[in-house]
Amino acid sequence: MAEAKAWLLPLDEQLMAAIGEYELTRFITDAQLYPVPGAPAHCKQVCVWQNQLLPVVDLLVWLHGTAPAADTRPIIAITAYHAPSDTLPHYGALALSAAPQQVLVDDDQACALPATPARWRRIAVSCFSQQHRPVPIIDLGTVFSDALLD
Amino acid sequence: MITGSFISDYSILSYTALQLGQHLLLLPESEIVAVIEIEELMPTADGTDQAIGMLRFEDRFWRIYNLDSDFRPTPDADGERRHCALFEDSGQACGLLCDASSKISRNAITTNPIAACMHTSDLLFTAVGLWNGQLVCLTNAQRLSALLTRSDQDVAHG
Repeated sequence: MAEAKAWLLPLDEQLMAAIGEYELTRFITDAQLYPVPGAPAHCKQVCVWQNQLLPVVDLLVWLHGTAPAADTRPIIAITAYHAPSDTLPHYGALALSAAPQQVLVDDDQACALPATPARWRRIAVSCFSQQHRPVPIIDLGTVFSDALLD
Repeated sequence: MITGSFISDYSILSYTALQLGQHLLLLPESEIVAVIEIEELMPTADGTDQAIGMLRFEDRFWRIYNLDSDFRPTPDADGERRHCALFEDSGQACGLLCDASSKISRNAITTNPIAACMHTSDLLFTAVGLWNGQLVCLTNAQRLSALLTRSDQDVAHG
């Protein structure tokens, strides 16, 4: 039975996503966010991290296809991922509703993706059950690519 | 993604920063013909595009546009915007209303290309940066002109 550490990323009180242990670089509770005019609804802000401006993706907005909340969500996770054409790590931020939580996941927890929101299928690589709730494991390379631009 | 040549274009020594509400839009200073204060605009000849009016400057007529808070052309003139940046691209003489303008040295800002997840086809700018704690958006006359032309065509075709 294989085990691996993962980070649970709360998107709201109902939805969580998960990423690998080494994909979470930092968690910031009071991030300064800058609105970007004309940017897509799920990615309307950038944050500063190590002298770079990183996109802040609000998965909740994208999953539900809704407009972002008027108030900013200053809780963000800085994540690292590899783009297919590049060996160097890339960084992007995810908007969260609460602090990430590290968990140990084993193969027995594998489960089917939740039927809704249907868009999980476009970004999830697998799914596991955590306290009777399905938690999709997301592919950060897809999340921060142009694949979510409908 | 941004083209490498734009980010690393060291021929750009400084930018003209146009204040548009809460945002700053930067164009290479060399591409701005003039920034003038406007009193009154003449109506456009046909009125079938997004231009909010015209003005005469140095014996030429310039079509004047306004952008909304998402940097999209709007036919609504903002009465508070009394400045206008004039620029040319491919023989087209255009102007963009702004609240104010200033000059920013290229060395004063560090820019980042727009991330792929943010880069919609109609996004006006190709890079962002910070200047004095404010987000700045970098574009050029060609991209701005293309946006205005597309917008005019959308209006003309209903």
